[in-house]
Amino acid sequence: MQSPTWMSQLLWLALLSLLGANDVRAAQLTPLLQQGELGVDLKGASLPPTIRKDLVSGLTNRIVIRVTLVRSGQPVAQRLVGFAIKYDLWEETFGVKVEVDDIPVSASTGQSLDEVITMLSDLNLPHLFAVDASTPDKSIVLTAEILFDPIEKERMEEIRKWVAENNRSGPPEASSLSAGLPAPRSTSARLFNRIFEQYASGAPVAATWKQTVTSKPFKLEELQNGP
Amino acid sequence: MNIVTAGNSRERPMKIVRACLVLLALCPRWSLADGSGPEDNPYVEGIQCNGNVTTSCESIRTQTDITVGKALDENQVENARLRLATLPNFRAVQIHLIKGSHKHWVIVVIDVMEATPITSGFAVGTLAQIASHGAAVETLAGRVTNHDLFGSGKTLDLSVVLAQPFEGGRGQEYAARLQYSDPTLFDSRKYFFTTGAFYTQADLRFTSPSGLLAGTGNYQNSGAGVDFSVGMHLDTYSYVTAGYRYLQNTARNDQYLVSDGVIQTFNSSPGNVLLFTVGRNTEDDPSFPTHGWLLHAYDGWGPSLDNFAGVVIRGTWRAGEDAYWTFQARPFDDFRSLFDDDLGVSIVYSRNLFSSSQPGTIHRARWYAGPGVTNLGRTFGIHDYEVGLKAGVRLETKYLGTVNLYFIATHFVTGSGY
Repeated sequence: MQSPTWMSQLLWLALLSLLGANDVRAAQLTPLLQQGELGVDLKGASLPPTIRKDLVSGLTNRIVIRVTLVRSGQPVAQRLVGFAIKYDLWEETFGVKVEVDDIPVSASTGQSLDEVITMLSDLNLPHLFAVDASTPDKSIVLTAEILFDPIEKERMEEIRKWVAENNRSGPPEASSLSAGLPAPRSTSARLFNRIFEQYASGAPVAATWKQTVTSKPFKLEELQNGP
Repeated sequence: MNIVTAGNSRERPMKIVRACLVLLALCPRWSLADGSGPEDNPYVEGIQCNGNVTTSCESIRTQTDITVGKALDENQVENARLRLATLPNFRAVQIHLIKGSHKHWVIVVIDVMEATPITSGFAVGTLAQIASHGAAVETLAGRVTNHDLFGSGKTLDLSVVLAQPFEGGRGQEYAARLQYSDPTLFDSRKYFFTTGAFYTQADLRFTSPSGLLAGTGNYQNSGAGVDFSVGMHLDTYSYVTAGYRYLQNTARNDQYLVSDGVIQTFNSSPGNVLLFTVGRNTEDDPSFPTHGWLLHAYDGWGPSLDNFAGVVIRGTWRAGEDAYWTFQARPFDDFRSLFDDDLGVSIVYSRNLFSSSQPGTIHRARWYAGPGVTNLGRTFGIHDYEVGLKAGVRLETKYLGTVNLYFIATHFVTGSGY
């Protein structure tokens, strides 16, 4: 038998790890300064592959965008922008409601699916942060975390308990042939795991589809104050 | 409520956002959590299923708790979707509404994509003993599991292990186990049943006394057995089992690695063994745990065999964003694979290679590394240990299932005598 070298095994591990670096579509987050308030322009956010079907489901689609203002490396302010989009099966229109930090700010109607998707692909969210003009020289970064149909932690805990009671698997084997061999598991829990991993990572809210976009560092003085 | 504004349709919603941010008090009040007021909720006229081939629509409907004739509760629909998506029968679940026979009456359509009931898992690893008792063993292990045997919800699992020295020794070891599990014995959610048959054969000869064999140079074993256990869930996460194993060694002077790591030689079959386990398992995922713990205590008793008992303890907690600590203590399993592909007691740091599940060839990946120690037991009154380091990567792949690639390096330590 040929003796494999440890180095070749490590290289093999590294190669397999790199295979997991899946492509993520580039999105762009641009700061906007209007009337002394900072907002964002979010273009090209990655949408779930099922978005066209989800939006015409007749059920409410919730999209939450958590925008964070980071100054000198420290998060100093955060705004939660929520979209609730619901297709009216009879009118065949899309009701779009928007709120910021739980305060409703608009309700409108979209006439077509493409119109709604275009809106989600090119979001303009002004007047999110009142900025301190006395410190214009400090470097600022904005981040936007986009969550589609977020799920509350309490609801996940309830479902986890339900699954444990209704989808029981046996205990681990007392005389397992191999400790390294992965335990048998079905593939169906992927959705559950994806959400739960986010909570375990400390996320205050999790979603089946999420993306984080960060702006380039900028200074207030570099932005043109719009009307 | 619709707000009509001037301007082209593409810019309309965002202009409203801008206006309302300035005049928050004038904006209409509505709830994001519900998406619409209760008065907007349609009534459920019926429930339909799409995509189900082996699962009946009736069994899908019973999991949803959605009642025909009542107002649609979107939270209930979302709960139903999440519940169904976590069941082993389905790979993906979507729910949508279609118009009913009258306005404000809808039909709930549940689209399911049934999961293949067959999954697999593999482990490829190297156990290398460094320093004076140099030896290295390559281990390859695999399993194939049918989680829904003949559509019955029962499980059939075949696992195979092959270990072969490639440094400091010759020979090989292999073992196989076929196991059938019924998670709902007699349609009960309280009781479960497991039965299995196994065969092991080992003929390993090391050129010098090796720490891998607790100080001896050779190990020969050939045995087969069958067992069954009946288990009972005590609550959501706790269980007990009781069972029986018949063990037959198939060659004379067989050696068995039994409790406390001592190799015993049997000239006749150990015969009958009673099996007992008690445990609690709150882990969310056995291969990619994010939190929870497991305690699994077992005991085996046979009149012609030393009692064997052990406790497996594992706990996982968060170590930062996408990072975890896992503590594990797993003393010797009786009749385990000789080259146990893990350390007895270890603490491991692990980190996801990407933050959430991906749709590509590799859905999830997590690397891990950490130190540990293995109690090899006593040989002629001397207590032997191995201290070591393990590292590896665990992958959830599209085609091969869960794959564990690992490397364990150990250093043999001879302790003091009695």
